[in-house]
Parts: sequence; C-alpha cells; structure tokens
Amino acid sequence: MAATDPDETLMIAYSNGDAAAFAELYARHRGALYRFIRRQCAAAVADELFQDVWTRLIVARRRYQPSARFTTFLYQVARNRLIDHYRADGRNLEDPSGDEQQEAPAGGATQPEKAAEIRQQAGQLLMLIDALPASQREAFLLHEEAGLSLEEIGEVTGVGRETVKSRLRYALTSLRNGMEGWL
Amino acid sequence: MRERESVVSEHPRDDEELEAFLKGDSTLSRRYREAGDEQPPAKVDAAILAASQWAVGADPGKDNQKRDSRRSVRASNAGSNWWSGFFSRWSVPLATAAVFVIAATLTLMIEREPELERIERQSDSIALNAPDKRSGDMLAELAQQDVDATAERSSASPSPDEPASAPVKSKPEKSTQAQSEPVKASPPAATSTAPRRLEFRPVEEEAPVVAKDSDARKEAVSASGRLEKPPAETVAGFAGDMAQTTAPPVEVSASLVEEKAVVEQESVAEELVVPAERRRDNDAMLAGDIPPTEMSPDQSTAAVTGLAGAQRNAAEPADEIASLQAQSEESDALMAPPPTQFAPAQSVPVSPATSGTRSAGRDPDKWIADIEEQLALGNRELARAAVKNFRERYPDYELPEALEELLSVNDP
Repeated sequence: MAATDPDETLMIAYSNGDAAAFAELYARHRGALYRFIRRQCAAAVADELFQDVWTRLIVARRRYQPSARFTTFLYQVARNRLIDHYRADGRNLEDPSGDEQQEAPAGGATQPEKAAEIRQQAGQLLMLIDALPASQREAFLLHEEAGLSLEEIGEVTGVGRETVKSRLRYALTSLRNGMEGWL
Repeated sequence: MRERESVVSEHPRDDEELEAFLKGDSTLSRRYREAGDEQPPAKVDAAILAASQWAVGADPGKDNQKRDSRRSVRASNAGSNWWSGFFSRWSVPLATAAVFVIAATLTLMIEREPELERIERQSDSIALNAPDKRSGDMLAELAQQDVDATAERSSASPSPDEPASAPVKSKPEKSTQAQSEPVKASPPAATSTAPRRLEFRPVEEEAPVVAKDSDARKEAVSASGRLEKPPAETVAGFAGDMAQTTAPPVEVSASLVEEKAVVEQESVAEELVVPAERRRDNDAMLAGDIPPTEMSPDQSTAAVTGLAGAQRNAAEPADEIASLQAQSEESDALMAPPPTQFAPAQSVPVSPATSGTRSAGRDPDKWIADIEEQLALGNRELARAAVKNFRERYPDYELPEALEELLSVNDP
C-alpha cells in the first residue's frame, strides 16, 4: 500500500484484511488524534480514550463507507467517545464547567501557582486553549489537528457552518487576548 | 460614535484573522504547532497495532503484496477472514471439548483397567481351582480317541474266522522296513459283532512297541519266516463297549511266499491262541490279577509271546486311559464279567489253574491297596466285588478292617 494513497483507500484495504493499511493510517493520524483527545481531557484518561477510539475504528471497519473523508469519520468517533467520557463524569461536552475549564486559566488571569509553568509561550497557549469553552476548543482543535474545514467541522459536531465559524472566531479572539503579550 | 467604529473595525479584523487561521498561516496556528507535539506512548501504539493485526488475522506484508485492487483484495481475504473468524469463535470451545473428551477417555480407561485385571485374576483362579475336571475331561477325550483309533485298527483287521481272506503282500525288500512304514490298508474284516469298514492308520505309535520287543519279534520272524502285524485286539473300555477283532497279517517275508499254506495255518493257530491269551489277560485284569503289561509265563511260542506282548504294550495306553474313564463313568463295570462279544471260536475258557497261576503273580498287598483306593474313591460296589474276588484268591489273607467289614456287609 503506497504512502500516497488516500485515507479512504487505506481504510477499505484494512476492512478487507490489510493490516499494513491500518498501520499506515495509524501513522498518519496518531499524533493529531492523540492531541485532540489530550487537549480535551485529563492526561490520565487520554491514553485510554485514544486507544479506545482506535479500537472502535477496528471493530467498525466493515461498516465503514467512504462517503466522507476518513478524517471526519475518525474524529467523529473520537468526539463520541469524549462525549461518553463526559457523560460518565456527569458533565456535558458543551458545558464549560468541566475539570479542564476549572484547571484552565481564565483568560489572561493566570493562577499564581501555575505561573511558573506557563512562562513559556507554548505553555501559555495551551493553557489558553484549555480555558476555551468546549465547543470553541473543539472547533479550534478540529481545524488545527485534523485540518477540517468549516463544513467538515460542522459535520462532525453536528452544527452548521456559520456556527462553526462563530465558534472559531470567539476562540481566536480569546486566544489572541490571552496571548496578547506574546503575539 | 467612536465605540461603534471600533466594533465595526474589530469584525473585519476577526474575519481576516479567521481567514488566516483557516488557511493555516495565522500567528496562533504557528504558535500552536510550536507549543507541543505530544505523541501517544509506545505501548499504546503497540497495543493498537496488535489489535488491528489480530482483528484481521493476517500477515501485513503478505497481504500488502497480494492486493492490486479493492476487489481482488476483498476476494483474496474472504477465506482468511472466514477462517480467522471461525478460529477465533470456535477455538476455545473446540479446545475445551477436546480436553473433556481426552480426560473422560483416560478416566474410563483407568477405571476399567483394575476391573479387567480383577476379572482376569478371577478367571485364572477359577481355572486353577478346577483342574481336575478339565484334566478328567481331557483324559476322557483322549481315552475315547485312543479307543476309537484302536477300534478302527481292530475292525480293519481280518476276522479269525476268515484268515485266508486277508491278502498277503510279498515285499521282501521292505521286510525290514515294515515296522516303520505305514500299514497298508487291507480289506475290511468281517467281525461277528461290528462289521465296520475302517481304514488303517499309520501305526507310528506301534513302532516303539515293536522295537521294545524286537528280540521276540526277530525270533518270530526267524521261526515262522514271516513278520506279522500283531492282532489288534482291543478292549474298548471296561464299561462293556468292547470292540474286539483280530488283525490280519500285513507284511510277510518274500522268502516264505511259497509256503503260503503253512503260513496261513500258523497264522490261524496264532490268532486262535492270541485271542485266548488276550482273553485271559483281560480276565486277569478285570480280576486284578495281573497288570496289562505283565508278560504271561505260559506263552506257547516265542513268536506268539513276542507278538502278544507287543500287542499288549500297544494297548497299554488305551487300557490306562480307559481305566480312568471307567473310574469316572461306570465303575461297576470294572468288576463285571468280560463281555461276550468275543467270538466263540476265539474265546478260550480260562482254566482256574491258569487264572490261579496268574493271580499268584499279583502282589496281594498292591491289590488290597488298589481296592482300598477304589473304596476311598467311593466305588463301593467295585471294591466289594474286588474284595470278593480277592478273598476267593487269597482265602487266608488278612484283610484290612474296612475291607473285611465291606465283605461282611455284602456277604450275609
């Protein structure tokens, strides 16, 4: 299986029993998907959720239909798994009052105990991303990590294109304000 | 007015920023990519790849080389998918079932093995505990076979009444081999009681007997000039089933063919003497006077003596086996008078003197021991008759108390 084959071809090949296609597919998306999950949950459960997402993909390989991009399918699975995780914790993905929201710094007002940790710019940005509302963070990550367009993000999240655009706009504003001194 | 301008101006700024962000060339995007590049742990990678390979159950490299198109890939992997699915679904149940079957088989084998050994031991013990019956049956069967064989030989022999009817073969070159060669079949002899047509069997069993009496036989040959087969006069058991015939001359010397008439006369004389002698032996045996193997002291000629002795020796195994058979079957016949199947011409009355002479050769103590043995075996009537005969022979002999009592009870 060539490395230039699209994801959909690889997924079809794997659904037909080609394990090498899955390896190639996994190599392409492992980092982005892991970060997508890691940015939206605690590190302790990120590995478990990440592995669970791929396991679901393996199990559902025969039901895969290349009607959409594979990335859309993959991140939709990951999002559903995150929703299940949130529901198990009694929280909602749309609810900004989660653990990540509480842990994340609120705007530019960083907590004193974490100030030393986020001295670096990247750290600050990550903390700002963690502090975003879940929908905004999700839209931001789907674009940054998965490279989805507005339409694809709306397809994954089940909202319209303008809603996605609005969420991204607010997310960028928040990040820019939080990174005002760094940008 | 100024605030409105700032708000309007921010929207175009946000739009531009969003457009740049969606294009991937915004400052935030670059910062974000530089912020971190977390990767999943290696163990998670290994677990996921192993799960993916286990799910399809195929060698990745091998499958990758085989697939040129989606359809061919699907077709070529249909079998492996079926097999992997079947194996993953039924491997554990099949293995469990196999383990149970093997365990059950071994258990049954282990449980049944002591039982089989016990049955074998029981059968062995039963066989060891009942040897008398088997040996008795075997002896009876052997006795019957021997009696039948003797009867066949005897019935095939010519009757003393028709001595001339027996063919006389002249084989001078085989005269010395006559004892080792099979006896030629002769025409059936017409006996007075059992005119059966029987064939001769090879008389290998007589070879040692003849060799035993080779000296007497040589004397007979030298005296009479002919070698005759001894008369196969057989008593088929003491129970009364007596088949008695005389055998014809089988082999003769060629030098005496010319003297056929003389030979025939001698043959008649011998065969008249031998049945009489045999009859006396039978009477003596029945009376317990002499054992069957003892040589009669009053044999008329050396040839007759040798031939008669050979005949008695030949009949010895049959007599012994028949006596065993008689003990188990009809002991009463042991002391019964001799059967009357003898032809009148062959039967020679035994004189008391002769009988007494014979009885004098019998050890009275051994006779008493035999009677006591019969009494111990439960053959009371046999013992009684024997004691009676013993008393007649030895009136002055002091009988044991048991036998005396037996005699007194039966002799009121």
